[in-house]
Amino acid sequence: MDKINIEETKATPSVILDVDNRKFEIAGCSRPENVREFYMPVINWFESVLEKTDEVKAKLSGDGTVNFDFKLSYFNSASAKFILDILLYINQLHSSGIDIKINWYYEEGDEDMRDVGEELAEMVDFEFKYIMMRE
Amino acid sequence: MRESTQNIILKYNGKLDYDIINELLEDLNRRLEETELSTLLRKRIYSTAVETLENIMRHAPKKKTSNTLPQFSIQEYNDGIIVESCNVVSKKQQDILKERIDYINNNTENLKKIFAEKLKNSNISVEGGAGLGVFIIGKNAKEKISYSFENINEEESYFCLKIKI
Repeated sequence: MDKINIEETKATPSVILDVDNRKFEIAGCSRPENVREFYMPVINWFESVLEKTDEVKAKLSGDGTVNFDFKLSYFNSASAKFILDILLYINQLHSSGIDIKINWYYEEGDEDMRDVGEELAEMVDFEFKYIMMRE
Repeated sequence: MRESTQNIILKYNGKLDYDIINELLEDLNRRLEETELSTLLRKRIYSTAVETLENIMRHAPKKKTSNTLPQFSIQEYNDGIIVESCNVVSKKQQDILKERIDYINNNTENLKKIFAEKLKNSNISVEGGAGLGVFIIGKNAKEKISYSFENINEEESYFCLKIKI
């Protein structure tokens, strides 16, 4: 299946969306120069995957829960819009019967990142698991 | 007693584009790592810096009639961190900013809820922002945001923002 593998830069996060290897992760700092341009391939990936959920389900089934890891150190307000969209897509995958959960990582002491995770979870009506990262 | 500056964390006066902002933010991260400030405070300073600098860059008037350059500083005082910025804005932008900041200052208790609503209904504008930056700044601020507009000419004003974190 098509996968996304974007490498991390100082201002943009790494994005891995890989059904074959059961790896889903967004990690790093998100304040792209052009936020729409950066996130559009990610949005398109979800759109195409949602058109073939049976195939995705077959590939992901039988090996326990799939983890989607958010390990963001920072994201700006423009990125927030796209992160919300991604969360809504994950929720749709879950609704289509894929056993997927969201792990929301935050640095020790960064309660704001945890809080915003809780706000987003409420907005998309999806429970996150919160994981504190120690330095 | 007058507040006394203990430490200038960052000070910049000049034009702003994405590359310059990247350099300033890298400098800021280095300087913040040298301080004893808590993780939460460092994150709030960084977040306020990003949103402030990006707003200056996005809302710079297309046709500038004045040559006044943006100013940006982060200073540590006895009782907190103050982020200050000044830049030229159009009169139209002035009205939008004034309305938005007044709204935030009048709703400091409900910013989380308002931000969630705005985020749900927002669209990314042509300039690349969603109009949410000021709300993030409001969430980071521990006091009301202070601001001023100084008239430059019929088209433009000099907008100054002061945020205490």
